[in-house]
Amino acid sequence: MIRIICMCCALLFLGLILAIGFDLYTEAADVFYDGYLTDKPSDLGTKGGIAPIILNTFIIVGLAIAIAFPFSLAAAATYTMVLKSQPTTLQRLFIFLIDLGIGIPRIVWGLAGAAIFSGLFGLGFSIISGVLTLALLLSPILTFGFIAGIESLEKQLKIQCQVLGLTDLVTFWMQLIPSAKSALLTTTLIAVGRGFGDAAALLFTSGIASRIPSSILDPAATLSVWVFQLTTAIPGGEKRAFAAAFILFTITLIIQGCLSISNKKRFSL
Amino acid sequence: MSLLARRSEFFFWCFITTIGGIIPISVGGLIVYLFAEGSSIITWDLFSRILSNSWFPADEEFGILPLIVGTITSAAAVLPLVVCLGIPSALYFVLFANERAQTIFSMVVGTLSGLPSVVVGIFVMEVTGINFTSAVIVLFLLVAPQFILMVATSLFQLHKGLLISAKALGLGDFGITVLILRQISLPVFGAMLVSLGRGFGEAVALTFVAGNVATMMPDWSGPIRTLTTTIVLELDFATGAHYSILHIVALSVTLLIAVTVILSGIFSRRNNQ
Repeated sequence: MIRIICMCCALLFLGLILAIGFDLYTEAADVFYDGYLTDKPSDLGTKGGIAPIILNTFIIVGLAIAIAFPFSLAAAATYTMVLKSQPTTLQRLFIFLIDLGIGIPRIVWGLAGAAIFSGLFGLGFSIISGVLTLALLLSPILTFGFIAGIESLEKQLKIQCQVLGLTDLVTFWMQLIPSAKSALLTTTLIAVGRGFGDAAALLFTSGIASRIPSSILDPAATLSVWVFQLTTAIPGGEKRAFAAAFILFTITLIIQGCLSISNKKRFSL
Repeated sequence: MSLLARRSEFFFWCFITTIGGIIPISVGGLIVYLFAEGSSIITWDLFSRILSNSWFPADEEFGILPLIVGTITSAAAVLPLVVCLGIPSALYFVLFANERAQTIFSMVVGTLSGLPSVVVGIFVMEVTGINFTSAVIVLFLLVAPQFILMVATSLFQLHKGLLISAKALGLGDFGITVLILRQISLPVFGAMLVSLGRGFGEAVALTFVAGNVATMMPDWSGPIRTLTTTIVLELDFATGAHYSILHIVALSVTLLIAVTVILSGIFSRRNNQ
């Protein structure tokens, strides 16, 4: 009996994901045409394709990950190799701030990014402003995942390296990082997914331009921001918003597929 | 190791610590910034207006209480739904599903947890319209997958011997489930708190469906406004005191989330002990 109840609850989620995919597709079916993914939008996005928006999304998310990755890896190294030998209070404060960073709403990062990067630094609505805000937002997520990945294998490996007389530097970069690379990859993919889906942080930083940018100081909308804009500000933009949302949905499915392949595990009795 | 090598390793770790420290410092800096910007215009008169229950920025009425009520109510309303459907789903995933079902379910939950909030928002808006109920459905779709993954993780961490012993003692599915739920009660509370925090922080999807009217008495068919949706809707045109008040709104939601993070950390530590 309990098995059936549990299965029904699980099936509900399968039904939900199918319903979302089906509904988005049926709402957007009229909009799709052969050149939808390769054409530029026109008439405020109510006609044409979404090629520049997809390009902008890849540029902004790619740059944000490229900036956030080394900082997050350094933060994970700091926690696992340096702070572990420090007082517990410092460790707890570090982890609390990382946890809080993950929990802070994206719109709050957007608010601060708009004030600091767009306003104080004079970058205005620009790709670089959005990239820096997104990098700040994604860094705690990456750091948390990296720490979890390294800690899952740290204890035995660290002791083995100490016995062999290896320095902390060699232990971390030559042993821990290569051993944890699947965890690092998984975390990075999760962060990429978050970056693709983020609208709140980019709405007030990278702007809503739908053209191909000529420099990182140009404004540029990502797919999520584009969906938000079409839904809330463009009259008659709903169908187009559904179409862009379906593309976002498909990208999420692809990222999830990659995650499932990179993280194949079997857990059961 | 030579002195030179030791010294260069020391400087290397100093460099790494400096770079790595930037992330937690930027999180702390964000809170300091929100506080500094928000408190820059605070006077006793304005402070009393912030604690009122009327949010009409055009008339300089900045009462954030209805926004806090909207935020807490919507996140709290979704929690029973998440727990009642999330725990059985996690149990099915870990205990009862075969390998094929596990793969499918992990993809389903993973995809749901990774869905952009705009996608969820636009779907729910189209299906159930604009009201408090839709806001709760949106939050359910965004929060439940994360809750399931957290509960499933704590189930995976259970000692396998416990389950084998339970089976050997002749416990049925129900008995095993009760036994396991007692074992993972602390991580479940932690997951509930994290879900609550996620609910507090959702912005864009709620903007589509919440109706965005500040009210102290939300009802299921009426509109609601939360702290985060207020920032999304008003940051574009806010100036002067209104702009600073939006920072206080952001600080409020951050503090609410900080409370959930602290409490879930306590549960996590107790569980580890």
